[in-house]
Amino acid sequence: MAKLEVYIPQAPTVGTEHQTPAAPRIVTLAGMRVGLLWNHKARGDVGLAAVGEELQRRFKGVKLVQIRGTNPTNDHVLAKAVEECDAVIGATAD
Amino acid sequence: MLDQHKLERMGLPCVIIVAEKFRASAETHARAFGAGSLAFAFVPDCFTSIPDDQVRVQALAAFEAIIEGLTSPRIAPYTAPEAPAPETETFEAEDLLACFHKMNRVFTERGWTDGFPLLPPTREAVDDLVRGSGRDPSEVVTILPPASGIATVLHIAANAAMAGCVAEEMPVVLAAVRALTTYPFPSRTALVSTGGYGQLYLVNGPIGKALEMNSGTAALVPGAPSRVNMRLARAMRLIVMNVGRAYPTLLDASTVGSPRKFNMFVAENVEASPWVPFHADRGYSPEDNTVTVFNTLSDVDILDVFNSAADGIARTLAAYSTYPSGEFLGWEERWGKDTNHSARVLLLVGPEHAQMLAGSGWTRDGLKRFLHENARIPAAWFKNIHRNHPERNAPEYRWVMDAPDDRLILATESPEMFHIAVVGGTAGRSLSLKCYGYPVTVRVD
Repeated sequence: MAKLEVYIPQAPTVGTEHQTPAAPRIVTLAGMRVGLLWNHKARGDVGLAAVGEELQRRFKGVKLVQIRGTNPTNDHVLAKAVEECDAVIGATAD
Repeated sequence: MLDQHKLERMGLPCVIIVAEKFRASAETHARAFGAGSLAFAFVPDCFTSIPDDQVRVQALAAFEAIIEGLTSPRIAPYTAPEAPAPETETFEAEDLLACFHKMNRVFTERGWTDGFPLLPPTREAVDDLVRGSGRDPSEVVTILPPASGIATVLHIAANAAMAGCVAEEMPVVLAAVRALTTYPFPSRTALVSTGGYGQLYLVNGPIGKALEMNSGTAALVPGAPSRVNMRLARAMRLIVMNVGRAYPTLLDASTVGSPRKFNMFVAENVEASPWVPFHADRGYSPEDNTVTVFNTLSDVDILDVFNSAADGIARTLAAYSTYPSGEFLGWEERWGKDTNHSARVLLLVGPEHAQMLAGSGWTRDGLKRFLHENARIPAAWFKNIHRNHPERNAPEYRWVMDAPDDRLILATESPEMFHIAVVGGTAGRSLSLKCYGYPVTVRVD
């Protein structure tokens, strides 16, 4: 029998070594500031608008915050979202 | 998704709307980011492909999943980091050739291939490449998108070995990897987009000739004259997959793709160029060895054996230097210069065309200005892409929506959007490559 020993070409990733826990969830959407983060993929804004309308219909006191992102979004825009929102809905990851 | 990962790290709960066809890609991305608990709300179709009324229906159908994503505790399906992979693997068979085939079968099953047989990354081959790099094998050259792959010299060398690279070529490979991840090159877009982005690496300086790279006839053609170009390109393809994890249908979401995703590596034909080397225009000395990476989105052969006057050649080059729909016009202004959303053109000008132009006094900068002024598209093409949401256009382009269809508009935003290098043989042809984002030049150490 012959043997062929080779290096593994697939490298580990940062993520495979460190898992980030999720942010704490909110209990209810009522009274919350909800960011609608649109990354400018076509019609993501249309979907977010529909979701935003439904949020306001179903949950009292929801405030919608429009976030004009890019792909990816600048860090200063994300930092502002953290200040102004309690939760974020993003669209789309295609 | 990267946005949501960052927001979650900053303590903000998020949910992302994703088309079902991208479920595997989304979950792979999340794991690669170390964000396995990201919340998704899946919808049947890509919003880009359906009319507005269907978008609304599908978004509302995902409403409960959106609420759940924001309110229910998130637990990653896996909590422990992956166990460290062994450094090597051994294949046993009746003889070495059978071992070689077994290795290829297994690596292909794992997706670690570009589709062609892989040379075995043996200890001898890889250690030789590491020696050629002059660096420690455990040195981390960069963190490679899209999966934040830890790009050590060893892993880069292993993939270069599979491509058939030799030790002397390693400094160029390392420089190419660094260029790929140097801001402002749009590496993430380049590697994960639904578009068929393929990287072209342009080598300048004496190292091109020293390595016997092809800069002349058939410089971009697979074959013996361009064997060095091809294996360097192949190395980069294997690296972005096996180190960056940009595997097609997973993190690489190419819709149709392109053979340019094999990547392209070429040296500038400075002997035949009437102008200073490409990198000299970027502030380097002609004796510096550099690699410049371009994010190409298409390539078009330019045939002009008919004009013998420089302005005729220039007009031909301009005609082939347009973005047919003007789809990226104004994006940089609209979204901010630091987002690097810019439409550019790389012209690989054949020596014959270059010498005709320079012989009549055309400088590289003069040619760029001419191309900018004369590469135009009908307003109708721009309006066709932007008509459904004209408010998204950059303010300076909104007037186009009211212009007559046959009005010719500039196809580029400035002369600086053009990049010109001399490559190829002499037969009345050049090559125009549409590019997205800034090209980046790095020095070869």
